Amino acid sequence: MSTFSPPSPLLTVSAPPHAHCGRTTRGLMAETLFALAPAAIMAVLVFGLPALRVMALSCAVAVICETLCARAMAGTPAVDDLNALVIGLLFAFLLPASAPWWLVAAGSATSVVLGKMVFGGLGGSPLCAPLVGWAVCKLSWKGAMDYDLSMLSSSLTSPLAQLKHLGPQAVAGISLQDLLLGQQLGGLGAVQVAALLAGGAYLLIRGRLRPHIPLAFLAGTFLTALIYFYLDPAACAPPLFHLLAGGAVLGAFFLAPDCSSSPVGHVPMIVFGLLAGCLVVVIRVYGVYPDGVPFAILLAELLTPLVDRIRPRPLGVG
Amino acid sequence: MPRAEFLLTTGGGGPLREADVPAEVRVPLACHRPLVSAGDAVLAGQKLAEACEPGVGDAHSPLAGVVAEAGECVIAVRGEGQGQIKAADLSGLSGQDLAEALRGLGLDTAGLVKAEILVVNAAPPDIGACAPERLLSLFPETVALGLEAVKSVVAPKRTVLVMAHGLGAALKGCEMFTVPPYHPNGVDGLAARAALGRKAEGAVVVSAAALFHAGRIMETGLPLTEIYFSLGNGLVKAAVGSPLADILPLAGLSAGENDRLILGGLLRGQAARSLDQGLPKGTLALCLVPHGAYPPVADALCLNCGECVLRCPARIMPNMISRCAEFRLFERARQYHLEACVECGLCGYFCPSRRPILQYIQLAKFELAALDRLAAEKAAQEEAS
Ligand code: SF4
Ligand code: SF4
Repeated sequence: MSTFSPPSPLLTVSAPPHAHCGRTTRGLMAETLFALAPAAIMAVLVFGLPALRVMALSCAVAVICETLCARAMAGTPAVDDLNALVIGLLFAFLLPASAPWWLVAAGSATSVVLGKMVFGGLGGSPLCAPLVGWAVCKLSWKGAMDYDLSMLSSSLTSPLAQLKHLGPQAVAGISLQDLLLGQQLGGLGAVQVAALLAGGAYLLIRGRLRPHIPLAFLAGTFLTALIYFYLDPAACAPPLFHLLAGGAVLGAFFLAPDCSSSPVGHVPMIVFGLLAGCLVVVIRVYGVYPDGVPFAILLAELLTPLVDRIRPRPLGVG
Repeated sequence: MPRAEFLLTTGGGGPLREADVPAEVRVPLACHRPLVSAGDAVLAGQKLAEACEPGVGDAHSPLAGVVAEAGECVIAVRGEGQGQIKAADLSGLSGQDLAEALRGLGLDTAGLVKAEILVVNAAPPDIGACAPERLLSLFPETVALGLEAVKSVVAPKRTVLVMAHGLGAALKGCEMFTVPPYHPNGVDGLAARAALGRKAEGAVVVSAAALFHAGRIMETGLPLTEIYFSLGNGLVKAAVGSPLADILPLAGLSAGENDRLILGGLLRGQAARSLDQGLPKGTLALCLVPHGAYPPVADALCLNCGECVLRCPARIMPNMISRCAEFRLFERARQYHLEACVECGLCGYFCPSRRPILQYIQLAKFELAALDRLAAEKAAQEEAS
């Protein structure tokens, strides 16, 4: 046999297509982090260093958990796609700024392990990862997760809890501007409404986020609240209050559109958004929890496989 | 809004260049049985190998010389001496006889069956593959000859010509239809659909480039050993089996270390293995993709971002289909209407995790075809026993 000498130059062999739009998973996550940055900064301005502590700890735990899981699953750790950071930060956004370290660590670890890695990693989970961690913490440690109880030293109040316990008169005096600027108790990032809106707008303009789910979500919340308000203005809060209080905006732009757990078609996305948005108000009105956003999204996500069956007729079929 | 990258250029203005006949050709074989062995002397145009599957053209030598290598995948011929085979007489043949004669002279005739409607697709089927439209505008008589031959096989009641720029000369007896010059409008299935709507089911679609090559055979009576394709902004005529390294310089291109050389267009073509590889028949274009121009394909998980689903012109779910294929659940892929895929490559272009979606789809189609064949054989056996 003659010795093999590779022809020069060596070509790269690859599968088609041989061109690409240039947008990668890592880029998507990086831009999401960038879009979350204003809210993170606002959280530190409003709640001080404790908020920074919670966010940093949550992100660190998320990254460590993902690396360990990937090792255990004998896969290649993909932490460099930045998804763990996004999960960690979003989970932190749902916590009160006073959350103790063990709560942050446990929740962040649950988010990554139960919300993502047990399903095989990115894209496999039927539920939005940070919400899984949130739900586990909320059900396990009620007191520590309660925004009013855990933030007794703060002069701010949680408008949704007031609405729940004291009725709409109690919140009538809250100005929408205060709500926009984060002058309310709630998840430390979730209440930075103006900053989150800016981040969401950035993702929409960059084309990193399709408008269907966020807009349908906000429309669903608004319309349902409007119906309740119209039926009984004395017993219900006005629709704009529902949009700006609590985590509705965070849910609309960052939690509900979570890739792996939201539907993919045009119509399914709109149906999903409307459904989740509508559930937010229904839970707020009838539920035992003041804020319905996380549970509304989790519930709607359970319906994703069903909603995703709304498909146009494939080319040349039927 | 279509993206600028997807603009199908006319390749207009670029010259038609002729590659020199190389000293040695390496004629690639697909599913052929060699008829010559190493050391044999062959004439130009002599049959080198016979196709084992119906509808696949036989392989012929572009030059007179000596067979240097006769393997399963390639027959190499070193140019020596002179001599050419006699031209075949195709006059008087028609219908299936003509199709069989053309196949014997190297033309792929797989899709040519009797049909009500014949669609001639001159629109570029891929980015950078404008050869069909240019051939039609440069050599309308040759294309018309090819069309006549194909019409005699297909016997259509109606013939439609689809173009992207309206540059080509009108073909006699064809209705004209123009699609917007953006990929994937020129992909056969989509072009036919744009022109005919649901009547496109069952229509036979042929590329204007295939008609041109059929026309060349009709003109000369000689086997198909030279092909015309797009390179850069022009057209190139080169012998089948010419080393790719010889062709690139014609357009002032040269491949560097780790570049990609694509046989076909950017979104649908196959990457060449090496620069010594011979030019395959049926190549519509050659594209050079510099190393690092795009993020590399990765064996990554689907994030379910939905980009592929929203971009797919066949309105199927490439995310689910590629997952099914990834885990070898081919029957499940069928439930997602895998067969509707027109292989345009858009899904992979937009996939942020750089999954080889189109390859997964092709794999699933291939495996399903094999499964179906097995099932049919089994059924036939049971019937016989
Ligand atoms: S599945 Fe991909 S290659 Fe097939 S038609 Fe859809 S986008 Fe094109
Ligand atoms: S574009 Fe890629 S990552 Fe996104 S859903 Fe399709 S296959 Fe999955």
